[in-house]
Amino acid sequence: MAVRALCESMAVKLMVQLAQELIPDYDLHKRFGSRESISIPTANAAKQIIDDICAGELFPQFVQLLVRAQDTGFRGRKYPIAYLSHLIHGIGSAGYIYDRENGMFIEDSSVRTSPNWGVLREGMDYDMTFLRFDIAGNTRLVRSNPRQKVEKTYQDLFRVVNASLARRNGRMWNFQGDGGLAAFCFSRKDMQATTCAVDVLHELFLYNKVSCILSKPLSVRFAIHSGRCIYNSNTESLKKNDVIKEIGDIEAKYTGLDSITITSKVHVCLDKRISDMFALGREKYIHNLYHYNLCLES
Amino acid sequence: MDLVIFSNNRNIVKLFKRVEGSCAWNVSQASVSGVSSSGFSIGIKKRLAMADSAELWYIDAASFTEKKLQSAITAVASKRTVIVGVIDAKGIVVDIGALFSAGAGDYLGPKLCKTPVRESRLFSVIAWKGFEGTVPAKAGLYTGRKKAAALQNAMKAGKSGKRGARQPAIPALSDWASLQSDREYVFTMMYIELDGYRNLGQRVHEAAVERLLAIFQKVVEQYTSPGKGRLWIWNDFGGIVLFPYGGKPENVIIPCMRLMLSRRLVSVEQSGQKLLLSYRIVLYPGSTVYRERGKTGRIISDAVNSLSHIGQKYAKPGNMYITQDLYARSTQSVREGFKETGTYEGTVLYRMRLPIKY
Repeated sequence: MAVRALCESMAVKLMVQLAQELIPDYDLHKRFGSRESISIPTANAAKQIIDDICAGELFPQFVQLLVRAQDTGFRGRKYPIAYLSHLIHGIGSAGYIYDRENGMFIEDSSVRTSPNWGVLREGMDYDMTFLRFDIAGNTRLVRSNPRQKVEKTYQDLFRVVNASLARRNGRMWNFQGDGGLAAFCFSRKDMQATTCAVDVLHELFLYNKVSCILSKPLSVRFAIHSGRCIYNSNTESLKKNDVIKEIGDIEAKYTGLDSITITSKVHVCLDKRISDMFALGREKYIHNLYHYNLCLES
Repeated sequence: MDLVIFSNNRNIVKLFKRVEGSCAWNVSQASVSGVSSSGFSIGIKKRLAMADSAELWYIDAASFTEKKLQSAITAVASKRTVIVGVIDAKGIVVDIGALFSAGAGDYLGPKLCKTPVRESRLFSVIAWKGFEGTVPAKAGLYTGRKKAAALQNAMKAGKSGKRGARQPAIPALSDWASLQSDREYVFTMMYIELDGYRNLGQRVHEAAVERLLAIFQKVVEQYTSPGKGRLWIWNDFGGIVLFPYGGKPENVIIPCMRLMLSRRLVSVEQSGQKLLLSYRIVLYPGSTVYRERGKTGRIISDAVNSLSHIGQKYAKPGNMYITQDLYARSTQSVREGFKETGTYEGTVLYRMRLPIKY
């Protein structure tokens, strides 16, 4: 179907230009072992390009390019692409969904959840939002409760956070028992990270009312911040990232118990119905900080 | 529930005057005469033989010596359907702990006997003794007119219409699988309604309102399903969800609290509109004949009426209420999330404490 789509929608020259967007040094004649002066039949060219794209596991990205070529244009011109809806549907059935806001395919979290959403590439720079959470007084909890109870509680926390992340297309990048780091990359990522934190905070409030088996209620601190991040599957190397360092500081130094702190970069991207929950803090930090804590009326 | 006061002293009976007016209790007095060496009076013995369903008794210690009182408490407490408390207005009992060891459920000392007994105390005693699952026909369910009607019906049927007369208990639904249509059950009912819906049509297009209401109904189903809630009646802007009765009240209260807390999340993530939704919830245990959804038009139920009255006329927008029965049966940590807000048509209500930034 992809070969037919290329054949019926564009000339060989454009096919090669599209392929070069993903494989910079792509040379179709070299692939055929022929001289540049010899023209290659359209069908053969399309088949070779699609084969090479698939071999490089770049097919979803290639379809993204086709969508962009049709919707917003490629090099200043729009190209109607035949069978495009079939191609999108085909990728959908392979476990990907099309994120219109970012114009890219990401993996469907109900099918598969990999830390890079199936599309982030090692060493590439992405705009991301991070949610860091940490159990307050972890040492005290460990000392004053039996090990099994503490482990069970951490598992429960992991379950609650993971369930909330799954509903909002977030990914847990790091979980060390007493806390962790979650990442959001695609549409409305600031909203998704914030609603995720609010959801977990509320859930833990109810958890403490009926399910907590520890001697004292479980208290967690949440911080949310956004910025550029070079993706690396080795989460240890993420610690050097400025955004990750900042969010660690914000969580540890500027966030109260059972509270969420967000930076102004995140706050400005929120829907008013959510941003209204947060109050501007008075602390001095490089970013303005906003806080929400689940304080009930007396 | 039957509340029996064994005392020959009228002033002791007056201690329960607050409770007498409540629909939850059938208060009656029994005399304590002819106390035997085993601590049994004829009155207690006769009554004990009849006690087949849950009853709460208070025995006036003045008619006994401490030793005989302990024997009487042991004997009564051995009958598993009876919770027994002691009224000690004169401070006769020295070893109060021994009474509880013998099986007593409550002790009203001289200081406590100076003020009328509160209904919440009785609910606490019941909860402590593990009788919360026992729901007699009247316990917290019927109010005012229904109570009179129930008594009238009993009289028509040739039974005594006097206070204290037994009525057949309505089974509490504990599992949906055992449900039969056209039979009466006790449920925990939830009333929920969208606030300010009358103005909604002015702010949002008609088609969008319809879409919003369909989404709201789905949200209600989604949030109540963990508590085994089943949507029963739905009228555009709100409806009634039925939950099984008899398990832990937290099973019902917590999903409803979650729905209240998620107001902004639901508005942003699910409503599909730029509106900030507001809704009110009332939880109310009560009995009704069950019929399938869509066939409920002709159901006449005082509990459903009372619930709707509270939801429509008493509940304030954006708030959640529970009745005293649910409050008393809840754990302390859940109770901390509510505060007493008043009485409506004889039902004591507790309002959920909302987040300051709600």
